[in-house]
Amino acid sequence: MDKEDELFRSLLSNTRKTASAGFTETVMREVRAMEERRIRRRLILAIILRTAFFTGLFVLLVVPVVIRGISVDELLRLQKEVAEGIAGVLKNAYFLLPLAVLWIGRKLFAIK
Amino acid sequence: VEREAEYIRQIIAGDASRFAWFVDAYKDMAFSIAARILGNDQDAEEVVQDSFLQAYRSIRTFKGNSKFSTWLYRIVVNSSLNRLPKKRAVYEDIELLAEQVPAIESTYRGLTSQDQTRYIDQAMEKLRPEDRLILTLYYLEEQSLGEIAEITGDPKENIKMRLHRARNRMYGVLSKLLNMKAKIL
Repeated sequence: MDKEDELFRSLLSNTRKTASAGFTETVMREVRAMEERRIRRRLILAIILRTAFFTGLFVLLVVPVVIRGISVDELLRLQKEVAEGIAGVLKNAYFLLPLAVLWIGRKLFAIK
Repeated sequence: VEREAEYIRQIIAGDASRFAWFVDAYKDMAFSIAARILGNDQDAEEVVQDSFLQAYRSIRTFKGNSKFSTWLYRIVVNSSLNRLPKKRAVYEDIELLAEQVPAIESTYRGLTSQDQTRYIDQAMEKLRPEDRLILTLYYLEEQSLGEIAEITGDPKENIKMRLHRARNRMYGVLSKLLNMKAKIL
C-alpha cells in the first residue's frame, strides 16, 4: 500500500459503521426459528413416509387375500397357524440368549 | 480459517448456535458495506440480516475455496445492489488532480472529528454505489484486490483502475464540499 493509500485510509478511518446493539441476538432468533421449521418439516416428512410405508405394506398383505376371496374359516385357520408358528419359535428361543446377553451388556456397560 | 472451517462443520452437523460467532465477527463489516451502498442505515440493517440468514441457509454449499468473509460480503453486496431503487440517481462526477490532494487533506485535518465524519458521509452519498463499495472494501475493510474482485465479480485487473478513479472522484466531491477548487471533467 503506497503513501497515498495510507492517506486516504486515514481520511476514512473514523467513518466505520457498526451494527446496532442486539443485532446478533435478532439474527440468531431468526436462525433458531428457521432451524425449528426445518426440524418440523423433516418430522412431518418422516411421519408421511412411514405412514405411506405401513399403509403400502398393509395393502400388499390384505388386498391379495381379499382378492382371492379367502373364507372366514380359512382366515381363522391361517391366523391360528401363524400364532402356533410364533409360539414354536419362542419355545426354542434359547439361540437368542447370546444376543440378549450382548444387548444387556451394551446397555449396562456401553460395550460396542 | 481453521477455526471457521471447524465451526462450519459443527453448524452443518446441527449446532446452529455456532453461527452466532460468524454474526459477531462480521456484522460490523457487513453493515458498513451495505450502509455505504444503500446510504441508509435502516435498509442496510435489514439487508445484512437477510444476508446472514441466506448465508446460514446455504452454508452447506460453501466449499471453502475462499474466505467465509469474502463469500458473505458477496451476498451482502448482491442483496444491497438489488435493494437500490431502480430509478437512477444523479451522482457527482468530479475528479481531482493529484497536486490538489494535499490542500484537501490539510483542510480536512483542520475540521473537528464530527465534521470530518459528516463531510466524508456526504461525499460518499454523492458517489456512485460501485465507487462507494470499492472504497469501503479496500480502505475500510482492508480487503485485497483479489478478494474485492471475488466479492464484486469484476476482473482483478479492473479493480485497481476502478479504485484509483473512485478515490479521485471522492477527492473531487470532497473538495467541492469543502469549497475548494476542483477540476470538473
